[in-house]
Amino acid sequence: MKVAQLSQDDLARRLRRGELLLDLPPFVARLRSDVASLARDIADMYGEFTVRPSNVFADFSVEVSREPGLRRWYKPQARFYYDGQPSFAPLPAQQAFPMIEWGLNWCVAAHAHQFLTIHAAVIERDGRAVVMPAPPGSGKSTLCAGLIQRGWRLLSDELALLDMDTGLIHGMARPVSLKNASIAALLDFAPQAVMTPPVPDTVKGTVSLLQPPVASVQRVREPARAAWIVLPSHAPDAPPVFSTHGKERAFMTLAEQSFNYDMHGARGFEAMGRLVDQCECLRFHYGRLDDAAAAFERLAGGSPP
Amino acid sequence: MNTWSCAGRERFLVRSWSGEEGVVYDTLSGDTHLLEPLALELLQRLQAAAPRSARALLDDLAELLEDGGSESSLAAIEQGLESMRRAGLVVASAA
Repeated sequence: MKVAQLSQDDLARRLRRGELLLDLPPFVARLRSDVASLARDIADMYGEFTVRPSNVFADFSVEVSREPGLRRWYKPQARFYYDGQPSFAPLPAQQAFPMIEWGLNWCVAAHAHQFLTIHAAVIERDGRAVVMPAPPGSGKSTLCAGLIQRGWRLLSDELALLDMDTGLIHGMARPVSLKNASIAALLDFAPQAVMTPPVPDTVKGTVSLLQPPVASVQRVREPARAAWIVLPSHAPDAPPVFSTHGKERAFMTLAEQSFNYDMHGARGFEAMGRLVDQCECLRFHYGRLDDAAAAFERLAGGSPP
Repeated sequence: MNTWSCAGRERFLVRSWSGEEGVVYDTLSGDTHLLEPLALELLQRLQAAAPRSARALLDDLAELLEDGGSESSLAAIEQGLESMRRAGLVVASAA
């Protein structure tokens, strides 16, 4: 059963009881919350995702619950819980959905050590994936959000999960997090995009989440092999330019952006090395999403950047 | 004058795609280093051969250096070795 097949009441009840199990391949997450608005956001963003029976094993049990006492009425706050334990400081209750998203990212980054986990967006076309590792502010998520509106499959906008044995990358095809000016830029580029209402005043500024494309969610169980490592950077109105990036430096960027590279020791070094081996490594500087989409179209078509 | 040696012949995993720079994984410390071309060349020579002085390394590398091995190249080699010593990749001992 898909989330979209649940009535809003059923979804809200499962959420209140902690009986909403979302299939986020390769994981299952159990969600619980008493924040009423969360059911709407989950329905909007995760409609195509599969709901698992409430009695199956969940890799992560997460909860966002309203803080007790006067806080329930005066500037209500909510807190994220992992396996029943409070994690992180409480935040305004209206940030409940971004909190779930950030919390799920943290769960994967902090616990899924069967993978080499890299802070990177991953998109795929014709069986070849682009891995875009980059620190916040590089335009990575904006670029990812734009390209998945133009035929690229979304694996992830935040977490590349590298299977060190197969060399394949897994993603969860979860909603793409956009902030501040990127929200308007994406809607200008793709007016049909479905996004959550913007949530102002978060630690990242104003945040809105973009619904993942249906086709990406339908293929969420298919990992992909990387063919390119692209380090994006953004400046307003900059022309789109690909340039070659040294593989050694790409390796170091991937290692720096990995959450658990150090933990895997020599195995992680060798796996990262094989990933770099198989990829063309590029920098991409851009200003407008239209230009970026055209440049990536040429890249996918085999034109030298 | 110091004699320089690799901190462990089997200790380091090296990958270089360009043949110039390289990434080096230290299996003992768990650190990964990005080495500039000269440092990579020095490390690989010290991995493959007996300990030697900076001047002996300069002589080894003379044919690769644009200036054929001047005093400024010697200074660059000493700087590269010192930097690798601080990173735990090479060891200096008094000759």
